[in-house]
Amino acid sequence: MASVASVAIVATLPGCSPGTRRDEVERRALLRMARLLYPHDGLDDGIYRDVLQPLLVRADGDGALAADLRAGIEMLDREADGSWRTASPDRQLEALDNIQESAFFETMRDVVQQALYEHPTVWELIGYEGPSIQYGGYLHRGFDDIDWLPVE
Amino acid sequence: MIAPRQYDLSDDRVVVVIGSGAGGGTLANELARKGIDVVCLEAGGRLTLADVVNDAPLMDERMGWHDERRGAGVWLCKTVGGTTMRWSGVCPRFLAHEFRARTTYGAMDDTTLIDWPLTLEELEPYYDKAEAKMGVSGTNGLPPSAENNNFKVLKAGARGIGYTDITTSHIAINPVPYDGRPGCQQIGFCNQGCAIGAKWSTLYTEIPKAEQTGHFELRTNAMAIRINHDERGQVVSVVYADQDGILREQKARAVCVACNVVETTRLLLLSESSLFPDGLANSSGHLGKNYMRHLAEGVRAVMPGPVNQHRGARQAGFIRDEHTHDPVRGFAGGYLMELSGASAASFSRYAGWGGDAQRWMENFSYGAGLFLCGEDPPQENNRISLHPTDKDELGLPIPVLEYSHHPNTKTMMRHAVAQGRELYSALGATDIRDSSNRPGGGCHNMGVARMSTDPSDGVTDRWGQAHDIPNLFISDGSVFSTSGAPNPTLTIVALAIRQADYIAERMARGTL
Repeated sequence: MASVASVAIVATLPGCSPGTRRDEVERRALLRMARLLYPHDGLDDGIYRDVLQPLLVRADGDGALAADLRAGIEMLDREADGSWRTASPDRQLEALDNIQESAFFETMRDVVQQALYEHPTVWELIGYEGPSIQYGGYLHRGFDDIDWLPVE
Repeated sequence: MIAPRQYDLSDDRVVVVIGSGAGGGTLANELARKGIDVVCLEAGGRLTLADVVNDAPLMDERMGWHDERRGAGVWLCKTVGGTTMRWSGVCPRFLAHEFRARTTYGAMDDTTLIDWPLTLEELEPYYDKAEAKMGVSGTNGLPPSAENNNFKVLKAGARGIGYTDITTSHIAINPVPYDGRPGCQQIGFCNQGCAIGAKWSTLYTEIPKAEQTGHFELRTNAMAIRINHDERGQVVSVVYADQDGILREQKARAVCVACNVVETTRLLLLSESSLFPDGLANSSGHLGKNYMRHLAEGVRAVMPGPVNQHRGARQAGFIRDEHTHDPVRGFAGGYLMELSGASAASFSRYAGWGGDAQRWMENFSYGAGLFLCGEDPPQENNRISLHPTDKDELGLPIPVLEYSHHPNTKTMMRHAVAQGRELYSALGATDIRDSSNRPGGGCHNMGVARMSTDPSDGVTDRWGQAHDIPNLFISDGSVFSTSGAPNPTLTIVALAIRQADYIAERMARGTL
C-alpha cells in the first residue's frame, strides 16, 4: 500500500462515481480520520475532502486499494467495538492510536500530510507565505526581520 | 555564439562523459575548454529557468529521478544539471584528517576504513578553483551570504551553548551578482531549482560554457546502459537508449562515469563481460560496496517569537565547532550543524499526528531548524547491487540499496541531536523535535568505487581512474575513499577539475 503515498500529489480528476451506500459510509469514516490525523479547527471539511479526493478516485479504479481502505475502516470498527465513525472522539483517537503501526494508518497519514500542507488555504492558516518568485523573493519582504533575539 | 558541435556515433576520438551534474558537467566543461572533444550523455531532459517554479511537487515531477529502486531511499535528479538543480549549495571543505581516516581514527570494527590516496594539500588548489567557478560566498572576494532569520536564531543559540565558529560563508549561492548570474533574492525554494540561477548549477554554468568552446555535445534523454570494451580490456564505446528508447552506440577514446553513485554502480555492473565477469572495473570486488550516506538528521524547534524560516536561502550558514576529531565525545570523526529552513510540507515531517501535529503546524511561523551532517564510516555490507529478478522498462535489473548506520554514526547522531536540542533550548524553545526516529539521508551518496592506493582495496586510483581499465574514469561521489563530514558537492567539483587536468595531460603525452 505504500505506493499510494504519492497519489495525493498528482492531478485531481474531476467527479467521482455515485457509489453505494456503503461507499458513502466509508468515505465519511476516511474524512473523519483525515481530520483527526491533522486536526485544524480553522479548516472546514471541504479541505479534507480535497485532500482525500485523489486517493478515493484511485480506489474507484483499483480494487486492491479499495479493499485495503475497507479493511482499514473495519479494523477501526473492531477497535471501537462498533461503528468507529460514530464513536466518541476519545474512543476514535484511542482506536487510531492502536492501529498506528498498520500500513493503512501510514498510507492515510502520508496521503493527508503531503496534500494538506501543500494546500494554500492551510498555508494561510499556519502562516506559511509560500511561492515568492512573483514578488522578487523575500529579499525585501522580511527575510532578516527577526526582532526578539537577545542583543549581541 | 558558436553552434554546438555534433559528433558522429562512430567518432572514436571523443571522450564520453555520462552524467551532467556536479561531477560530469564540471569535467565535461573542463575538458572541452582544453580543446578535448566531449560527448555528454544525460538521462534526463533540459529545463530552462522558465521551467523552474515555486511548486515542490511539480518540480519533483520535472526533475526528480523516479525510476524504480529497492531499499534505502535516495533523493536525486534526472535532468540536465543533475542534483546540482536540487542541492542547497553548502560548500565546506574537507579537513586534513578527513583524508587520513584510517590513520587518524585507527581500526574500527565492522568498517573497511582506509586513507584517501591524496591529501588536503594536494586538493587545496582545486578547492580554490572550484570555489571560484561556483561563486562560493566568502571566497574570491565575495561577501558572506546574508544572514536570514533562521540563521540568526541558529547563531544566537550556538553562542548560547559556547560555540564560536559560525559562518554564512561557503555557500554556492551568489551573495552578489557573479559570473553573469544574479545575486540571491531569498526566494526560499532552493531545492526546487533556483528560478533566477543565483545558486550554482551546471545547467546554466558548465553546460552552456562547454557548448561555447565548440568541443562539446550534450545529448539529453540519453540513458547509458552499457560500456563496451575490446579484447585488451580497454573501453571503446557506450550504449545508450535515446529519447525514443532506440539503442545507440557512441564510440569513445575514454569514458567518464558520473551518474551519482546509484546509477554509476548499476552501469558498471550491467557492463559485465567474460573478461570482467563481476562488472566493469571490479576485480577488487569493492564495486557497489562501502556505500556511504553521512549522518543526516534534522532538529526543529518552536521558538518564543516569529522566525519565518521559509523566507530566504534554505541552508545559507553552518556551525563548525563539532567538525573535528575529538574522541572524548565518544566517537570518531565530526559533524557540521547546518541551517535548514522549511516549507509547510517539510516542517510537517516532524508533526506526528493528532494534537501533536496541530500544535506543531499551527506554530509554523515560530519554527526554526537545523540539519546535522556527519562522517559515516564505510562498511562492506552497505552496498548497491542489481535486483536478481525485477527489471525496468528497458528490461534491465533495477538497483537495490542496502544501508544501515554504523554504531559510530549512531553514537555521533545522539551527540549531535543532543547538541542541536540544547542550542534551541538555550533560546527558550517550547517544543523541540528531531528526526532520529526516521532513517535520514539519501541526498549524499558516496563511496561505491572508492579511490585506493592498493588496487585490492578499491575500484579507482588517486585520479579516479579505474585500477583495472586505464581509459575508464569515475567522476562523481563514488570515488570518495571516506565520507568526511562536509556536504560532498564541493569536493566532487574539485576532484573533477583535477581529473580533467590529469586526462588532458595523459592525452598530451599520448598515453590515453
